[in-house]
Amino acid sequence: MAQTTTADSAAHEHQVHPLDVYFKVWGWLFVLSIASYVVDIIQFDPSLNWIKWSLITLFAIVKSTLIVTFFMHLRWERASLVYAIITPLVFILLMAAFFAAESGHIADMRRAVLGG
Amino acid sequence: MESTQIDSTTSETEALTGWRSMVADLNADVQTFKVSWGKAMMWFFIVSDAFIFGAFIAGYAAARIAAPGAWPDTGEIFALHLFGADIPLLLIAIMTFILISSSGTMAMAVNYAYQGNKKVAHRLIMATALLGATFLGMQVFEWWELIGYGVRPWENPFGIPQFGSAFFMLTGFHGLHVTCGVLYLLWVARKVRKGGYEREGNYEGVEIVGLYWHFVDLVWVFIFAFFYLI
Repeated sequence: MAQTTTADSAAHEHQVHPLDVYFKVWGWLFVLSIASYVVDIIQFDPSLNWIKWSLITLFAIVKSTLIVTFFMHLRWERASLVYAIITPLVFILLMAAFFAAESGHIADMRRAVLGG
Repeated sequence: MESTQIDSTTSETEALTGWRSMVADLNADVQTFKVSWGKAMMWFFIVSDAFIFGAFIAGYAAARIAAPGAWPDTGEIFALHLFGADIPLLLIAIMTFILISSSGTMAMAVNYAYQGNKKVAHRLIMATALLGATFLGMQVFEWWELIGYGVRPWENPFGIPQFGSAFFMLTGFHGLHVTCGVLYLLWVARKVRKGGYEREGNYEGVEIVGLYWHFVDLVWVFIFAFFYLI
């Protein structure tokens, strides 16, 4: 961080950041990918599968946050751009939740009506 | 007189951070997004594309939850037979590492391009494109294998047919994005080598192709987690 003011203002306009930030993010992406792969291979008791799925989802969310924050430079963009990008994505989660609820209902109805 | 006043207001809002900067940017009579149009448009494309992939993944989840039968074990289907043993999902794991590596080389390429280091930036973009092409080659192999087993968008010998349609839709649409990305990268690499950005005095084009490429990697993170692992 021993940069002059000119370098800082240049970094503000163009996304130039120290390379070691990228190397750290790169390393974490590898670690989290290996972690989710290992979690998948480990044989869980079927009643504990929710732990496996939660961990895999958590690792995916952390990985995507790292990519968007550092590789796509949102960490250094202005709030108006960041929120214009992030807020609409909430609706995807909402849609997925509605879809899942509807599908669960269909599966329950099938079991109730057709049995099994 | 008036234009000087606008300039001073702009520099005042530029100094703000966080919520205050957002309120200032969303005011009337000012430019909302203080980035170049190319970058703003790439971001808008990425957000809309995220909706398409979000719809695909939500649709896949819906089909899987309501599926009238057991979902096939992806660990077994995508196992690779190596050293006399079946290693589950090995090919997919390698593809994931290749794509993450390509994101790393892309991030470095943006850095070197802004430093004006044409030669290193060109090499890093070419490395990114090469890794992307390797990923595609492995995906073609995977499709070849599954089509050989008899998996089709409407049928699947390992279980219920919904698996086939989800597999071809998700990986196919992602693969199309990788294909376009490799071509886009090659075009940018050529422009870097020929000094196009140098003449324009602005290497932002490399950052913009980087945004697209990182997004393709981002989508793979979710396909890897939700389609292959879960």
